[in-house]
Amino acid sequence: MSFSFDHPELLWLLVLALIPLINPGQKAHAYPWLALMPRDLLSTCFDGFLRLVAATCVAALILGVAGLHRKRDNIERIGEGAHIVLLLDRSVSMDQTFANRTPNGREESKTAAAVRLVKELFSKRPHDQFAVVAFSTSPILAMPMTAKRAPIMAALDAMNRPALAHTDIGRGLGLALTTFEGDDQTATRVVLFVSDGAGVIDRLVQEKIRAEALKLNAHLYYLYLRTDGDPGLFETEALPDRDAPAALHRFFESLGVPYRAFEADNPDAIRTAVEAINRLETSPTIYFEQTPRRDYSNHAYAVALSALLALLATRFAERQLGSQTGAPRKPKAAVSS
Amino acid sequence: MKEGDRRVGPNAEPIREISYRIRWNPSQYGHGSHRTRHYGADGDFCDYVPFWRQPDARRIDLRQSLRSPFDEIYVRQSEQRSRIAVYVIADLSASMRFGEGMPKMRMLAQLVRAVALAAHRAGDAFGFIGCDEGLVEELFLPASRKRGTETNILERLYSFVPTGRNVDGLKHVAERLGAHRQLLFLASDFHMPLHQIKIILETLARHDVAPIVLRSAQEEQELPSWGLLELRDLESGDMRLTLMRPKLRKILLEEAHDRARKFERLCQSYGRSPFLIVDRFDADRLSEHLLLG
Repeated sequence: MSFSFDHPELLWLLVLALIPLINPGQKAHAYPWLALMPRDLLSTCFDGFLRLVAATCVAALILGVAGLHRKRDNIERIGEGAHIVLLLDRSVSMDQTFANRTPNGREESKTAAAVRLVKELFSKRPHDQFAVVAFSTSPILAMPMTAKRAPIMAALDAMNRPALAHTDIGRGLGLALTTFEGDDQTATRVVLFVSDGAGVIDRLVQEKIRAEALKLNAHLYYLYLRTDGDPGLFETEALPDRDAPAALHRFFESLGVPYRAFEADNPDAIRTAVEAINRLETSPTIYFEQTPRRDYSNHAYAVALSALLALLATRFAERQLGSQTGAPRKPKAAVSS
Repeated sequence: MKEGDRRVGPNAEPIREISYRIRWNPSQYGHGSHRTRHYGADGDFCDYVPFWRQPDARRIDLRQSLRSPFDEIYVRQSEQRSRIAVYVIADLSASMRFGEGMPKMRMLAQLVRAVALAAHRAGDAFGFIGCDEGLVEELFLPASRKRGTETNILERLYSFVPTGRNVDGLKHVAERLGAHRQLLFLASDFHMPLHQIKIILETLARHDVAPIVLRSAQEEQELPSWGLLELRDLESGDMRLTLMRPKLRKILLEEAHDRARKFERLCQSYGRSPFLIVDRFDADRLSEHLLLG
């Protein structure tokens, strides 16, 4: 926690707080001989206390005027987590159910199921940073890498908007990988690629992605939402179609980065896949907790005010020597002692 | 001084008279009103002594001589009356400044006036010595039988603001007093350690010292029972905050009483009891005190 001041130059005035320590400023009454007054520990303590209160009052006022606040701060912490990019397919087919029907009350769309479960995943991982990239014909950076939950959830909610047109995996992957730029090196980078289909990635783009993925050492998870009747991910045909998921699977395997693929044909399968990812990504990460700027000048003024009130109270407790003591002055007869 | 009386200065004070008496024999020669053990021609008749004891032919008393069965010649012998010098030795340190309108200084002035008057009436010389850290030369009045000399001192006393930080000058007073035994009115608030008072009394032991204690009730008796008091010592300038409470006030009064008793015993061992004047100078009581000794 670091304190800061809006006007640090005013702190020089703190020297003024020494004044009450030297001279408390009560109205002193002339007295012929202090030795008449018995030494009193309580009085001495009270005197010291009053001086301290006065000094505190001055100091607090100056701190208040100087604008004492706690700076907005990033606190570095270490926890389990990763930087995860959700790369979500926004092609029209994603708005269909797993049975390739328009979603109704009983069956939700693939997007809705995926978003719901990813949200669950995200909320289980408090120290992660997330980014959301949607892709269709063109990739859309829905939310850059951030640790803040609210915008992430909003971005995920936005994924439930009606879908767009086709699928261009290559550019989507490219944009997803760029969200790691400027990341610190310690965090595990995870690309969670959710799609219900595959597509052809241009050879040039393939090379770029390969290079980028290796450079960033990103973990890649391919969550394939298989619609009824679509080809499976792990089909072992010798040479699958160029745009079949199996081909994409092979390409990903060939990237040389940690990679796992999940095939899900119902929401429960998605859940299983997501939980597997949750278990896998447990490497330590450094994350930053942001603390907002906090203004303490009001507290300083409050302290000063209470000190002033205390001093005011003692002011009323001050007594005068002589006629103000209540008893009427009557001349005493001179007596021989 | 009456409440509405706004006149200041020595003439504003009503004239108060005191009388004093000494119980010792003045060693000074010269006519006065005090009895001595000097026998001589003038003064009160004392008795007849044989001529051979006092061979003064002018004082032969024929009637007594003729009445003598042994044909002795008798001489009238008189007890000569003598005079003394009366001094007011005043503490003019800053503590005498205490109180609004400096009541202690006013009491001192009244005392000076009364003593001077009494001294002149008795044919004694009157002198004044003021002391703070040293002797205050501007307020020094050598003993003199001339009337009116005190007026000058009184006028200066009224305009004098004591600032001395102590009364060490009192220790040097004896040097100004001469060899004869004098009557000294030592006027001070005696706010000083007892051992210091003892030293002063010691230096003045040759003289007849009548301590006059000038006090203000505000110093002790009229202190508040509750509350905060920031006090500044008039002489040292030290400040001290005191949280007054009845217990503390009681301790203070007890200590003051204790100190007063010790002081009284100390003074008595040097001759006279101290006379306490609190806020008001009562000439009659002072006379009573001085006459009864």
